[in-house]
Parts: sequence; structure tokens; C-alpha cells
Amino acid sequence: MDNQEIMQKVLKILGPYAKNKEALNNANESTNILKDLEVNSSRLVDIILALEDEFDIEIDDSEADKVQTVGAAIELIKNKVG
Amino acid sequence: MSQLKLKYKILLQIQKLLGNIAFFILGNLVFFYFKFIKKYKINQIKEIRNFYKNIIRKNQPLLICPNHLTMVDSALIQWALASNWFYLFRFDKFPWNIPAKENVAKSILFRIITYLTKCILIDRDGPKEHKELIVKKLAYLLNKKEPICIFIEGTRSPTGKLLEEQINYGAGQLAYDIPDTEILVIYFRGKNQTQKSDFPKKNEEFFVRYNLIKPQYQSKGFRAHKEITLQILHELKNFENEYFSFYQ
Repeated sequence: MDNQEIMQKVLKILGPYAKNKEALNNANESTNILKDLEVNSSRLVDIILALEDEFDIEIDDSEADKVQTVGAAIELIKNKVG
Repeated sequence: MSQLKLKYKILLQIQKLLGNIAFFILGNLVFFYFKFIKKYKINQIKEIRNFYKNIIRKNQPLLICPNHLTMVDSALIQWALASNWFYLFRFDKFPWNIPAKENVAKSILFRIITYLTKCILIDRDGPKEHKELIVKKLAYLLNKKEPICIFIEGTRSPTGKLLEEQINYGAGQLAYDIPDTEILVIYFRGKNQTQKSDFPKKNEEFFVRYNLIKPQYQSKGFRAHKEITLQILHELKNFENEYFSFYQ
């Protein structure tokens, strides 16, 4: 699975939680999930769970903490799915 | 989860001790204000207090999870759960609270009052280390069988109905981390309360429903935190539906 494919899936997951739809449409790897997309921090857990389901991976607490940007999410997923 | 440092354990015990000393005055002032100035009325107060006493006798870790509509919800719930005399001698059973720092930071008086009424201030935009410390403090208190009041919505509801999209899984996390934790779910609202406010209206009568639940979960980690919190939300929603079918 290449970066572009992962990114599309990640953005699809982020979609319902992102308050800033314009930032979502223009998102790139450096887009910050909380600050740029204006995702409520309480929803990060839901996003992590959705990523686990979508990519059939497990993400632990310490890894979840690092998922702050779209790029960080892609990197984590790439490492997990091999 | 690593242990809370001794320094913080001592600071929490000092806070509780000072709160206990101040409670005779503070508790009675609040009671006087609610009962005689605002003329609030909780109809089933004896029934609720008996229910709470029975829970306390079991001496298990206890989370109290209410809905959130006014600035004084936690004080009203504390009043509903037990008398001032009870708290004076069992101040360990006066629930801890976790208000947002930004709500009290502006006023030194608010800071003192919240300190003396067993509040642990949380900076919702604070660093991860700050939030981890709060979780450790709460876990320590739960293990000591001191009840903790957590609003799963995190903020007062502007719509007057449960804010499902706002719920955070902190209560679920604590219930998952601390074995045998029970959760007292309370739906508490003034019969004239249509949306959020600082105080309920004068002469307000309160609709109160409550249930004690034992968390059930099949999964682990984050999923279990969510599963438990959704159980709390489910109970609150049932009570809210009852309220709206009855009063609206």
C-alpha cells in the first residue's frame, strides 16, 4: 500500500471529525490533526480505533500519542502493515 | 501505569484536610444559599442519600458520572448525595471534582473555593504530562475508595440535551484501570432547565434519576475505555428520554 492510498483512507477516517473542512480538503502530511483540522481531542481515541479497524493493526498508547499529524499517522500505519 | 509520587499523595491529603476544616463554614454557606436563597428542592433527597450510604458501605472505588447543565451541578449533586453533617465526619466520601482550569483561573477566590472543595483543576489544552499526572492522581484516589465526580460530556450542554459528540473516555479509562470500580450514573436537571446556565432558576425542583452500574467490557485498552463510557452514556440517555417524555 503506497502513501497516497494510505493518506486517502486516513483522510476519509478524519472526515467526520474534522471541523475545518477546507483544511481537510487541502490536507497534506504536515497537517496537524488537532490544530489544523480542528478535531476535538476527545475524538482522537475514535480515530485511533477507526485506523486500527481500517488497516487491521493494533496501536498502543505510546504510539497513539505520536499521531499528531496526517504524516505521522501514515508513517505509523506504513510501519505496521509492512 | 506508574505510581503517583509521594509528594502528590501528601499534597492531596493536605488539600483534603484543609477542605475538611473549611467545610463546616463552606458547606453550610452553600447549603444555606441553595436551600434558603435559591429555594432549590430535591424531592427524593432521602431516597438518594440512602442509596449513596448503601454504596459507601461497600467501600469500593466509585465514579459518579452525571449529565452537565449548570456551573453548580457538582455542588448540587454533593448536596443530594449526603448531608453536610455526614460529609463533615466522612469528608473522604465528599466527591472529588475535576473542573477545567480556565473556568476558575481568573479569580483567586474561585481558586481557593475549588481547592477547599476537593477540586483537581485540569488544563484541557495542557501538555500530555499534565493530563497523565491528573489520571495518576485520580487513580490513586479511586484506589483509596474516595469517590470522584466526572462529567463525561466535559462541558455544559448548550442544547440542554446530552452532548454525545463531546464525550470523552476518561471515566471509562479509570473504571478499566482500577479493578472493581462501580459507577453511579446520575441524571440531574431542574424541571425548568432548557439549556446550560450558571445556576438553576430560583425555586427550582429537580428531576433526579440514578443507577449504579458495574462496568462490562469485552475488549482491551482504548476500546474498553470507550465501551465503558458508552454504557454510562446509555444510562444517561435512558434517563434523559424519560425526562423528556414526562415533562415536555
